[in-house]
Amino acid sequence: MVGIVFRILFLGLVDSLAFWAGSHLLVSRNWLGLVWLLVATIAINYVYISKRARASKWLLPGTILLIVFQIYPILFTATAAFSNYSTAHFVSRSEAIDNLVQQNIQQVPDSPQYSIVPIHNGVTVALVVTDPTTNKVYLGTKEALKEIASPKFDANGIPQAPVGWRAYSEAELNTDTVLNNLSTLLVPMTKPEGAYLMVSDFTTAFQFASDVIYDAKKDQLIRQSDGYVFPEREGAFIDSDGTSLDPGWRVNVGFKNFKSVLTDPVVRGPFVRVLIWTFVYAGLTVLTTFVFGLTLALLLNHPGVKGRKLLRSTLIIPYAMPGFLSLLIWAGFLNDDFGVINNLFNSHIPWLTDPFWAKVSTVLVNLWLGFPYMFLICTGAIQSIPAELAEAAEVDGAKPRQILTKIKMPLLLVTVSPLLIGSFAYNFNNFGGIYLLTGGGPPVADSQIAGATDILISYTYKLAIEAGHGNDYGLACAISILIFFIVAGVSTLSFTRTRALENLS
Amino acid sequence: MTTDVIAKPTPSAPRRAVKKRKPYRGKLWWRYLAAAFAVAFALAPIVYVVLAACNPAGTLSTLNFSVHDFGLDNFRFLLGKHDLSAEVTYENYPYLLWYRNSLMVSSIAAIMQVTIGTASAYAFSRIHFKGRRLSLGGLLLLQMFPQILSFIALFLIMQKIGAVFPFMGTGTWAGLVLIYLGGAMGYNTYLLKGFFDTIPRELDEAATVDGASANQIFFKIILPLATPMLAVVMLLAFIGLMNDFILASIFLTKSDQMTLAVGLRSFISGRYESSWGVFAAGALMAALPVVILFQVLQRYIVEGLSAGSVKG
Repeated sequence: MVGIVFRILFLGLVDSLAFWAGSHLLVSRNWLGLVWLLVATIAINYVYISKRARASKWLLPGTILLIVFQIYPILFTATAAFSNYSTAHFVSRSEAIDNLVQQNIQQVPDSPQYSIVPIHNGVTVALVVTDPTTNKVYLGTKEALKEIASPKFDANGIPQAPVGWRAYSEAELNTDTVLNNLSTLLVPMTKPEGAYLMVSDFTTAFQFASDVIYDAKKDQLIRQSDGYVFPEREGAFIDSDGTSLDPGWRVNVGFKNFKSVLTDPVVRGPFVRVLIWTFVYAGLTVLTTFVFGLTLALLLNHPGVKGRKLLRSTLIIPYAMPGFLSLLIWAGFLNDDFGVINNLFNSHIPWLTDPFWAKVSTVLVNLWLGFPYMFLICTGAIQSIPAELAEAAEVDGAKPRQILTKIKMPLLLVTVSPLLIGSFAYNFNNFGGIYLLTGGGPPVADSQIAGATDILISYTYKLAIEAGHGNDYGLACAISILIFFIVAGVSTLSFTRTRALENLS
Repeated sequence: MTTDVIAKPTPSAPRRAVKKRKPYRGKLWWRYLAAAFAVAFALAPIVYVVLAACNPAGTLSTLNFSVHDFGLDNFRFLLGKHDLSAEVTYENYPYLLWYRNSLMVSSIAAIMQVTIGTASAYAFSRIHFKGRRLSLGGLLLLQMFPQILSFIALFLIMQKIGAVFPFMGTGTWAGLVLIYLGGAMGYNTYLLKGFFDTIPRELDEAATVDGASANQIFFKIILPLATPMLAVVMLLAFIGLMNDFILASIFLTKSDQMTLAVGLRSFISGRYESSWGVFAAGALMAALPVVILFQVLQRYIVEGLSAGSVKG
């Protein structure tokens, strides 16, 4: 009974939320969003009403979130990897055409002066336009200029907004959003064809026309002044001098991005360098933290050592500190000019500006961040080795060193090696460890993007958002896919060795 | 058993071993030396941060701290009681607001992550449905794709959401919560399923015989047994979320929506070198609850570590 009431309340809440969201989507004409909302709502209703969907009841909310925020982004990345998606190829073809037409727009020299009234319907901006020659009244939207059959006028003879529309007040007109919407509004005219009405101030508009026009029938972009038809190549129109017009649009380029990683020297050079350093960085980090952590664990895990609990609580602190804070603090410590490390030791080591020392810094800081982890797991592993083994060896005449190297170490490695692989996989993608400390720098001559300490993930991130000559999402996404396969390979190795896979059965 | 909870020693071992080892006592000093070195290595940077935080004129380069320099102005600034200069005002750096945002984001996301994870884990542990093994394996595989690399798609999704529902679109902390929830199923489901599997099936079989429904079994049997574990998982999720910097820094750009992680960085990415002192103070206050939680939960964290989780 309680269950049914709860279910009705829950579905009622979901459906009313969906209705509210749907009305918003309808008003903003977001059809794709509406379809998604509909599918999700129907799925929720079916699952919680039907008696058959037993498991889905428990899985659905998580699954919806998983699809929207993890699976879809991954699929998006996978498709973008096969496209030329970049700053110069950001939009769709029709958006690119609109943009190119507008770039070349100019006021028609003998344009009549149209009087206008800016109006809106809560969503879009429009104009009430009066033709100065015929005195007919039109509704001008960004789609078309339509005649208003029987316009109404106010006392001053100014035409009023048609039904469903409202004129802006003086105060509303002076807000940034309205000004911006008005100044970018282009109302296409049918007579003369290819001309647009564009607002010049709050009461007047003029005819504008573009030198570059789009012929919808032939699907061609044409420059009127010399009749040049722009040819298309790889998602861009080509000008008569051979340059590509900006913006271009997204097209599928097949394996081009992957090929350029493997063959194009400009891309391959930095990529191989970064790939090698990624392995070195992850490997060195695991090695140094493990050796330091293990040594400490062996030394301190001795019954004679007092205060071990306190020691552990203290040594855990670097690990407990939020990682990003530690990294930012260390970046300050290591600053060449005013960092405390150089001041303290009265040295002038270029910790973050010399390629070699920057690499040393990243590993050193990771040692500080990571040794408590290794100390903890090694202590655990040592304590789980049965004491009988060491005792038996002692009885057989083994020296302490032999007990350590022949008995304790092999057993310990069996326990911790999956964790070492896990740690390697983690550091392979340790974005923060690089980005917050050195920012990937210092720069290296062979690439504008990849610095000396960049690992694959930070390199990819920079490719996608902070490249100097435009962002190359397509290439970034292609490298993301490669990273996924590398990490999946390493992790599968790790997972097959931990309990994770046992749980599958 | 007094010192270590990492792993239970085998029952037969301890006493005799302790007695036997006594003769080594004379050589202990170098073990203590190693301990001292490790403690110094671990704590020196933190001590330095404390000193910098308590020095109003402090930069990360000043070495000579005297009692003369000591002051709490950095902390007073962060609490909104004292402006440091014309540019460095509380209005530009609303630390307490960031703190609130961080707590909101982390606690809401942690609670919802664990709720979603618990429900999914229950299905995976107790209900035999088609494609169960396949979806578990798929969940594992999904975790190997670093979420940061799909940020372009996430950005586009958030823009679309924001166009319709501005309060949870790009740049809002509510939108960030949504992004965190995307990974909810992957993060905790695995861990929790493993835990549910250890609750004897006989319990729910008996309940089924007595006529209990799946819902009743979950709410009356599994959930009460799992509550302590769920609380720990939630606190660990909370710590993880408090520590997230990358996703937060991509999506939160407006000062009033920032979390601690993003806001704190603005102290040192700016032009004012003197903000290092403030940064240090802010970092300490931000880290304190996390470090305390970590110490309190030490036992569970160490157990989790041995099961293979790696902290960020």
